[in-house]
Amino acid sequence: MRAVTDRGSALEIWGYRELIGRLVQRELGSRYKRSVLGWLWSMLNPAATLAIYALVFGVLLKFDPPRAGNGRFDNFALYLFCALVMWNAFYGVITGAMTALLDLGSLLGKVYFPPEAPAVAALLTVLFQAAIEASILMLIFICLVNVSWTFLLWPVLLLLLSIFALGIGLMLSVWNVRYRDVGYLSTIALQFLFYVTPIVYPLSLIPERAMGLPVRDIIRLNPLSQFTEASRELLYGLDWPGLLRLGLMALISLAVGAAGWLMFKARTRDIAEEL
Amino acid sequence: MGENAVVVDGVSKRFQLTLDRPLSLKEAWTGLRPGSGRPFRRLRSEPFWALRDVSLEVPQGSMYGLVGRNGSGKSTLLRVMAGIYRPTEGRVEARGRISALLELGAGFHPALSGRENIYLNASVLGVPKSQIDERVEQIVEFAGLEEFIDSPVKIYSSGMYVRLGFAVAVHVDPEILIVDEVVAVGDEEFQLRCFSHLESLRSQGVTIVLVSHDLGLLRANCDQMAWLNRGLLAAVGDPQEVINAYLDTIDTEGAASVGHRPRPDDEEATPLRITNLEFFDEAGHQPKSFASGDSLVVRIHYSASEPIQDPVFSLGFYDHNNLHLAGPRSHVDGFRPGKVDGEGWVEFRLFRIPFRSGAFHVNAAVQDSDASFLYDRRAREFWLQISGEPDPQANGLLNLEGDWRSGV
Repeated sequence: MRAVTDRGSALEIWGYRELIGRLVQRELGSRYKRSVLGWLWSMLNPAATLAIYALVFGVLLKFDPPRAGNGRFDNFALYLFCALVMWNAFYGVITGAMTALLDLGSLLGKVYFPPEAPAVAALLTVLFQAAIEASILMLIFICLVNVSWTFLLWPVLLLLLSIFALGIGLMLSVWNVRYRDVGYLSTIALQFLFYVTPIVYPLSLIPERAMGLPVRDIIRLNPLSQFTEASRELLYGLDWPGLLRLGLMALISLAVGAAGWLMFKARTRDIAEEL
Repeated sequence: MGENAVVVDGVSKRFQLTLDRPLSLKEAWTGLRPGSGRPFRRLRSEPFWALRDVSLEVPQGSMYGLVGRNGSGKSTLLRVMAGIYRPTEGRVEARGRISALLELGAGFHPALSGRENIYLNASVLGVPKSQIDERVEQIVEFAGLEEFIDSPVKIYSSGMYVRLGFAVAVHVDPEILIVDEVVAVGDEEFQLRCFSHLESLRSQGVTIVLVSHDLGLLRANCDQMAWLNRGLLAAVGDPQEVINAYLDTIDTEGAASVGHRPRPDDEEATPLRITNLEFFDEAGHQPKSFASGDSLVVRIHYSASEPIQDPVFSLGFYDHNNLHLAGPRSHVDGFRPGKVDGEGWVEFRLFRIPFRSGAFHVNAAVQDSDASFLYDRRAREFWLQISGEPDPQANGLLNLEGDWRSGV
C-alpha cells in the first residue's frame, strides 16, 4: 500500500517522461500548422528578428562589435546572435512555463500528473529551438574558420541557463494561476530586462557611471548578462569565462532553480482546486 | 481477496470558499475590493468541509458503490481517492494503478484530436506508448468513434466525450477504476456495454469504485456500498442495507418537509394542497421497495380549506434521469372526486407495475375541475423503489405486456 498523495518527489517527473514527450511532440507538431513555409519559420523567425536588430543597432546606430576570436573579422549580427540565442531561450522558457500551466491546468482537476510536467515540456520545446539556432550559428562560425574547443562548453552554458529560467518560470507560473496580473507584469519586466542585458549592444557601450549610478556594474550584475556575455565569449570571442565565473553562474542557476521548484511544489499541492 | 485495494482513513477535506478570494495583486496587497455600492470591503473566506472523518475500505477485486444526494461529497471523495485532491486530514492508501473517470471528458484537451487525446490520457496514467499502440484501435472501436477520431475533441458531442473517456479509462489496464456518474450520459446501448465491461474487468480482479444515482444498478452490482450525507459517512456495508437506510431518510425528509417547507404560493394560501403521497401494495402494506409486475396503490393526501368541486388530481412517474414515463390524470380516466373539503385522500391503483428495477420519483399535482388552475404541485419528493435483478437480456425502462406471433 502507498498513500495516493505520496507525490511530488524529484524523481516522480521521470515516471512521467512519456507524458512530457507527448506534450513536446504536441507543441512542436502544432507549431506552424497551416503555414506554407512550415518548419522554415522556426529559422525565418529568429533570422528576421536578428536582421531587424542588426539593422537598427548595427547599421543605423553603428554599435561596434569587438573583433572575433580568430582576429580576422568583426560582425555585429553574429555578435548579437550569440547573445540573442540565450535571450530567446530564457524568454521562451518563462513564457512557455506560464502558458503551459494555465493551458493544461484544467486537466489537473480530472487526472493526476506532476504539475511541473507542462513547464518541463515547455523547457524541452524551447531547448529544441535553441539547439536549431545554435547549430546555425556554429555552422556559420565554422565557415568563417572561427572555431575553438570553447564551443563544447556552450551546451553546458545552455543547461545552466535552462535551470535558471525554469526556476523563474515555475515561480511565475504558479503565481500567475492565482493572480493573472503576474502574466502582464512579467511581459513588461521581460521587455525591460531585454534592454538592461547586453544583447543588442556590447557591455562596453554602457558608460561606467550615469545619473550618479555605476550603471555598467549594475548591468554586469544582472545574472542574465553573465549568460549572454559568456555565450559571446564562447562562440564569438573563442574565449572561456573562467572557472570562477562559470562556477558562480552554476551556483546562481542551481539556487534559483531549486528555489523555484520548491516554491512551485509547495504552492501546487492544492493547485487542482484553484485552476 | 481479503486484502484492501483502497483504504480511506479518517479523511476530511476542507475547501476555502472562494467567493472573496483576492483576484489581483492589488487586492491581495490591500485586502480590499472596490465593489459596487460598498467600495471597501474586507475580503474574507469561509471554510467549507466537503468531507468529515470518512473512513472506508475497498476490498481488492470488489465493486464498491457510493450513494448520496447532490453535494454530499461523493465527487470530492473520488478525487481524494484518485490523489487529485489532497485530504486536509487523514490519508488514503491504494494498492495498484488508479484510473479515474471523473467527469465529462476526463482529462481531454479540447484542441487535440481524439487520437492524440488517447495518447495524452494514457501517458498521464503512466501507460507506455507501445501498449497504447496495440490498444488504440480497440479503444476507438469501443467508443464507436471511427469517423471522428482524428477531429479535435472540442467538436464532439457530450456522449462522444464520455464514450471516449470511458473507453480509454478501461483500456489502460487499471488496477483500481474510479467511475463517477458520468456513464449515465451515454445512450442506453452504450451504458449496457459499459456495465458488461465493468463486470468483465471485475472478474479479472480489477477493483471498481462507482458513484451512481441508479440504486437498482448499484444493488445489483456492488459487493459493498457507502452512503455519504453532507460529507459524513452515514452508512457502509451491505448494498441492500445501505440503500434502505438511504431511502429511509429520503422518505422521512420528504415527510418532514410537508407543512414546514415554505412554498412560493404559501402567501396566497392555496385552498387545496397535497399533504403527502404514500405507496401501498395489494395487502395494504408500505414496503420499502416494490417488485416489477406487482400492483401498486398511490395515495394522494390532500387538505382543503374550503369546499372545492371535482378537482383534478394527476401523478407523474419519472425515472432517475427525470424522463417522464407516465402521467395518469383523474379527469382523463373519468374519475370525479366530488366535493372535497377538509382532509382526505385520493388513490390511483396501478394493476401491474410496468417499470423495470430502479428508483423512480412520483410527482403529484392538483388542479381545478377544468384543469386550468393549479392548486398545488409536489415534485421530486417521493421516490418509488422498484427492485429485482435486472434481466441482462431485457432493455429499456418498461416491461411491456404483449406476446409474439409469427407468420409468412
